Amino acid sequence: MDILKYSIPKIAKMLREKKISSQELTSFYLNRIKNNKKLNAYITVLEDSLDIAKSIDNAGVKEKDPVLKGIPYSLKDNMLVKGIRTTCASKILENYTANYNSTVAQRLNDSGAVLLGKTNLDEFAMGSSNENSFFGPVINPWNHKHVPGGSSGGSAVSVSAGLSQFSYGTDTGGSVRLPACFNGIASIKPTYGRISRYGIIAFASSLDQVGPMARNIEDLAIAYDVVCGPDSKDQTCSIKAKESMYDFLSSDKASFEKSFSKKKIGIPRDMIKEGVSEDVLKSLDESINVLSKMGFDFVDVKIPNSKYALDVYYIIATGEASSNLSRYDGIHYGYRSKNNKDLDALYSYSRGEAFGDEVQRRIMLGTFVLSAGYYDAYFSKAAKVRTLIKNDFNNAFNDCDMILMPVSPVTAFKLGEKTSDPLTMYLSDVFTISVNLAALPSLGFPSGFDKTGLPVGMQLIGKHFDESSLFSAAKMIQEKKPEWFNNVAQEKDSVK
Amino acid sequence: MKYESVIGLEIHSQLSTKSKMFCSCSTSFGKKQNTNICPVCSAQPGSLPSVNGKAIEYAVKTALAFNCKINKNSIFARKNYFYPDLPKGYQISQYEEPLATFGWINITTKDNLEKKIGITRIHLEEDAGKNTHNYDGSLVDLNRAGVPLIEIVSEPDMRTPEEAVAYFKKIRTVLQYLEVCDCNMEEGNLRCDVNVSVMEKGQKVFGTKVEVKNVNSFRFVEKAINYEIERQIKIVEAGEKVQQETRLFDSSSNITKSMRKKEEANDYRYFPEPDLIPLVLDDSFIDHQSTTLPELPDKKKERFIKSFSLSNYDAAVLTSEKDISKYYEELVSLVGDAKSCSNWMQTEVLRALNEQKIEIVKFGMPPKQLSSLIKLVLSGEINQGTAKEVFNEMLATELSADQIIEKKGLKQISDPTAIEKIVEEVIKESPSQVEQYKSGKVALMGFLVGLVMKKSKGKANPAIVNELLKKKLN
Amino acid sequence: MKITGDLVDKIAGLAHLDVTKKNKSLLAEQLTQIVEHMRVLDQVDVSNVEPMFHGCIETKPLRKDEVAPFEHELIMSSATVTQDNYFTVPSIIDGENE
Repeated sequence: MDILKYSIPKIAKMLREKKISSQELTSFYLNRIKNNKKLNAYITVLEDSLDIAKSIDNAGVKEKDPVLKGIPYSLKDNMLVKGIRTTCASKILENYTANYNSTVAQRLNDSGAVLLGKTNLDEFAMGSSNENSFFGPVINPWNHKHVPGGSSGGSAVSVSAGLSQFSYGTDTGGSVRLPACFNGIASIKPTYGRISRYGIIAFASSLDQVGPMARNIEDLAIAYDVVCGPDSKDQTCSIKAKESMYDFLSSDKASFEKSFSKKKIGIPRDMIKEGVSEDVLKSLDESINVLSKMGFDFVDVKIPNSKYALDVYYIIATGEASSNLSRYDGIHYGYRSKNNKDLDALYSYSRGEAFGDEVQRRIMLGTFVLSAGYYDAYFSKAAKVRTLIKNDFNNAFNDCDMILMPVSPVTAFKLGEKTSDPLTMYLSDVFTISVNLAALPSLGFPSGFDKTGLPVGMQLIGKHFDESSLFSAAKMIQEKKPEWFNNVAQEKDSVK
Repeated sequence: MKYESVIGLEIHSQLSTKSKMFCSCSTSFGKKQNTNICPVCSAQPGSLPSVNGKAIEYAVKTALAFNCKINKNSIFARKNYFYPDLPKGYQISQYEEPLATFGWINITTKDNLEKKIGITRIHLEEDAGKNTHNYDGSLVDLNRAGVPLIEIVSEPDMRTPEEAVAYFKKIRTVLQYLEVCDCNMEEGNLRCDVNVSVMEKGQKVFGTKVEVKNVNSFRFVEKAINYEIERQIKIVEAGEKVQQETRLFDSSSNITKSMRKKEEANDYRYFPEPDLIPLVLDDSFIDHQSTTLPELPDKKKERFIKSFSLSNYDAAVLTSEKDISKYYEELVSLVGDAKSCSNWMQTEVLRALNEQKIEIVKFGMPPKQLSSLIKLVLSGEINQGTAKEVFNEMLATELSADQIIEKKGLKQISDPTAIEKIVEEVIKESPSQVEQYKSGKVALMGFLVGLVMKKSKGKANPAIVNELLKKKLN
Repeated sequence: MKITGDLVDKIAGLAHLDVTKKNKSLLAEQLTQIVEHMRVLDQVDVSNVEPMFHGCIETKPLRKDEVAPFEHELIMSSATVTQDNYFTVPSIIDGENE
């Protein structure tokens, strides 16, 4: 029985038919986690998830039960699960136990899904390579010399290496889509406000959004469905009623293919210029080909202000982060320096000793852009250019229904390749951040492999709250190109 | 006086909601330390604020009562600074787009003139926790962290400490009328920072202002301002410059002390709170708040003058506190005679409150009880002097007026035959005074009345005594 | 825009970060490089453009004023240091309240 080939609907059916048990599934994944420790995908593995699986088996999985009941998953370690250590990959929260549930964890818990553990990430989700973790870097399972992408590297690896059925990351500037792309799996960064941020450790509040990751589109839709929808605990969470993407995809296939026959896809050629590798460009052409054959029309669109997106992003994200991270002060919880003779020492040594270099760099940058004399030229200015970028997308969507572009200009780069130069590292996000700035939904899908065998990925960007178009198109791509999906990474020397 | 002072007040008022500004923790005072806390107000990772609708309602009511322009699109902002009582490392407040601006209220100056004081802005914010200090460090209690506050910032329109106190009192009265703040200054419901500067009289340009923090009683406001004026004048007279700074009032020595804060601590790096969407208020909400505003002190005073024929002074006293005006109105509705009710309130009730050092809500004699006493006076059952005695007895024993009069036999004698008997006795017992009266010393009439009253143990109706004496002697 | 050592100290002071042990000149250099890159925004004309400070703008009902107690013991048990159910800090000398 090859569990890794099965989708969630298939496993759910098997559970109901008692062809497999939740315990078998859970121990299967726990074993794989144990055997792939060197990937460093998990910070905390929950051995007692087997007990939970056992109680689910004892109660039996019924027809009416939620589809996810008894199915194992993982969560990025910046989402709070009550009673479980939540570190955010930082020394400052190394021993912090969550005292409440994030809305995401609560909904998953209610669905009966089995949490395997908390996955590794860049400290406070700040990074593009997952090399900034207090618990060490995560390794790309397709090639162990390469990064898995960040910041949700552990979550992506847990899915691509078959260390969980599905997973969740957070995407502030590409942190779900980039690692998903580097790992050859599907992912979605929903419209800002689709998924509650309550209990998700904030990096940049106006940009952060939870995103699921999975090996195929059905799993992705189910993982998306269970966590999205209004939440009174998060006033930035939309009150729009949730619509089930899985039900939508399972509905009459002919009718939704027909509804797409006239849809247009925009390609922002002006964005996809310098620094894009040949393999990535080739893969983009291939995706265009596949979609054209399905009846989509293509138009050129322009997002002229996207050339400022990187700078706008690093001003807004670091500004918000500098404030969001003030609560880690060594007083109310978390790491407290022994060097605490007076209050100032307690603050600055606790924070100076426990935050990593990248986090400190961003706090410094964020403090600077908000400080007196610089606020107008940096933070306020960036917020205005952000409006221009959002307007550019709105204009583009007058001519098309979706936008297609690569997730990253290159495939997974080598470990250590960009760590010494923060600015070059920041450029990894150049194709993803505009979407966060404009608060749009974007679905990342795998689109084959480069010459060296590393995955390549594309993204479909939609109008606000139009996730359904993205899921439909992705489902159709999956049908035409099944070889792009359901891949499990296996480097020669990795243990099955 | 060569100098003139310029004073502005920043008043923080705690809104009397059940739950905190951004979470569902209780706001109740006096609970064990760190028991009214949750992930939001203790700044646990990942927690998010959620605006209390009642606090918005109260703040809008207040802004309307102070004649402000309501901002239909106000935004919350983060004020960033580190302090142990501020667990998030920022306070959620309002900065560039406050809830309301451009208001005013009238105060009465000591020359009995109306003076308009401008209100610059009213904004919403959350309170910090409380730090206490012991021998080896400081202790932090977050029960108060996140309690809703409004900050009412005045224009620098006040020129004397008395005006500042009158303004502060007026703000308190209006907040009480609105029932949006408990205004208990000992519990810190109402706090005040004072901005003071001095300049030569007639100048147009204000001097350098000094902010005095935490001046939390009317008395302290007066003392702090007086101290500051004196201190600043001394500096100016010595040819030096007043430092722009924040000082703290020390109520044990009645002086202000420099806080010596680091310069950089003042860069609060305000920016719009990304966790809270802009606060949008629609016209129907604002209209509803406006039409449901209670009668405010100025309006009530006008009405008292008009419908109860009270003097400006009496009406001002009786409307100075909402509960006093409520007591008074109830009394009038039971008694009918507004003028005697006003006299009773001012001479007896307010005196008793002063003596007992209590608020009128804790007063032991409800309007119903007092009304029966006043009615007995008005109907001539007892006289004024007896009534005061009965009033005190009522306070001491909590018996009703009737019971006391009955028990002590204080009922006024108005039966002419009974009084005539006493009058005859007095005439018989005081022949020389009677003689002198008849020979023209009419002033002795009072003496004779007094004798009759004494003999009747004060119960005889003085009018009838007078009438009968005159009849007998003429 | 050059981020000097003095400016690094000032920002670190505001952010309450001890950077003395770090390579301050490298930090200054990296920040300068990033901030220089950001000056590209100087060329953008944003007159009459409203800033976008929020990801989602939607009017929604505000929270009802109802009390819901929380297991506050959990919060105190994750606190770094406590004494008699208080959080503790070194003595604060100056200034009650902000």
